[in-house]
Amino acid sequence: MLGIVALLAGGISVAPLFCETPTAPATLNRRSVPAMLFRAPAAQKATWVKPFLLDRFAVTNADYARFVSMHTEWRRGNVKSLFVDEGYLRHWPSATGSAREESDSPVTNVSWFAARAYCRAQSGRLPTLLEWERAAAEPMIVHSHQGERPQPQSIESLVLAWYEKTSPAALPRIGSTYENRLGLYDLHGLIWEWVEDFNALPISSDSRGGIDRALFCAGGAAAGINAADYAAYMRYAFRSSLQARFSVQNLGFRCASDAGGRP
Amino acid sequence: MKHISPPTRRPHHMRSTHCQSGWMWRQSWLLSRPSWIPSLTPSWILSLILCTAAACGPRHTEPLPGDSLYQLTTAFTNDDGRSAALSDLRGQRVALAMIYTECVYVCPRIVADMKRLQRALAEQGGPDVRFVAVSFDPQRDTPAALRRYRKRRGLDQHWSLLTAPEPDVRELAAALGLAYTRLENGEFSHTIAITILDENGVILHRQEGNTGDTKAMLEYLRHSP
Repeated sequence: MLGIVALLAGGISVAPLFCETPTAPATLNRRSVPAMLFRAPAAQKATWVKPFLLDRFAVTNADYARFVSMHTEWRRGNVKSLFVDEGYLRHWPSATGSAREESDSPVTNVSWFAARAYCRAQSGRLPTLLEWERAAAEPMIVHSHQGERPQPQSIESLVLAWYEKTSPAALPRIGSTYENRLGLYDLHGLIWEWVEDFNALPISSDSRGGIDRALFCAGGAAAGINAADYAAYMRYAFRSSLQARFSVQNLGFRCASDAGGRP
Repeated sequence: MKHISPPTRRPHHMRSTHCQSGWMWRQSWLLSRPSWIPSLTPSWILSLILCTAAACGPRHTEPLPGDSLYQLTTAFTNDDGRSAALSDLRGQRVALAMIYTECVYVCPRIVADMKRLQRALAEQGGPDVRFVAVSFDPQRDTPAALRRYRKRRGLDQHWSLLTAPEPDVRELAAALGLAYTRLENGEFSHTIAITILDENGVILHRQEGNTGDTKAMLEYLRHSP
């Protein structure tokens, strides 16, 4: 009898810990991406992309700082060199967080391993390449402000304008580029984003030589990208140049999860 | 009642030359053994005494180097259906490749290159080296399929054949710097490479392509620590 009372008492004291769900705010900020038959830029035919959830915004410096405070093995200085390179979080003045004015800017200089660990901690995962391309292909919503005529802009022109600019020292904050039809922000024009299978395309980083067939099994199957879709070509070329531990000043990420909330 | 015979030998692919890891394996078995096998106890105690007296395996208590591949904590499954971690390979040099058993183009040549390495090392009385093949294809490369592959290719106790769920396969490939993609017909397009690891799982060398040139890899495998 006493044992049961002790158990209940223990249970009651533990309950508040279970009520705290630091992951709840992150998952609430994910939007549903419906299923679609979608042809990715590099694919020869359309594939069925199952429904999934994707973060509305890229992960910010503030978000990542919270993660690092709870998972100190990912602190700059603590983290193992298998998982990051020397540039990991180089834009943070300290190992604990970014400059205040960059709090709401997307976190960059994070490796693929780091991004995955963050998403796992938020009950999620990185989106696959196909999922990301499918979500990013959605058109822009144009908002009309008071007294202004809405300014339509194609995503392609937005991306090409972004390529032309040199990277600013401090990245703009999330939400500063555009919203698409699914309520997702900045999929183009702000940062490059990690995907789960960034190393899925065996394209030689030297495009002049084509695919080095000696290096790849079933090498002939990797299709080319439509030469007119320069923006897509740049994205694929960029991804194929990456190694999992790399930090890049304008490469960040956002998280996804399977429809139903499970990663 | 089914006769339960105690495992008296370590599974061939997990045997190592370090008695400390052997002792730990025996202990875990001992905890679960049926009570009617008291006769093995004296030999277990003896090996424990010998091991601690000889102070064997102190290397495994040192922390792993920061760039060691063995920091990946994935629970792989071997072709015996048992759980295996990459860190179990610690203590000898390793030649590691990622393949899939249904591959008919170049994976057989990767395995042939590794067997050539194995033969050359044996002929030269070379060090004990582990050969590891991890599958890209967890769907089709079940432990049973890996077992069949082992027989078909004649892979002996120095070989470990491993499989793991997709996200872990993706992680290992990324850590090894390998690219791969699953094609619609179930085939895989993937980098062809053999990676040489040192005793602590640090990558020493990656041989890409299928040139059949094993000289550089032999040098890295033969070099004593």
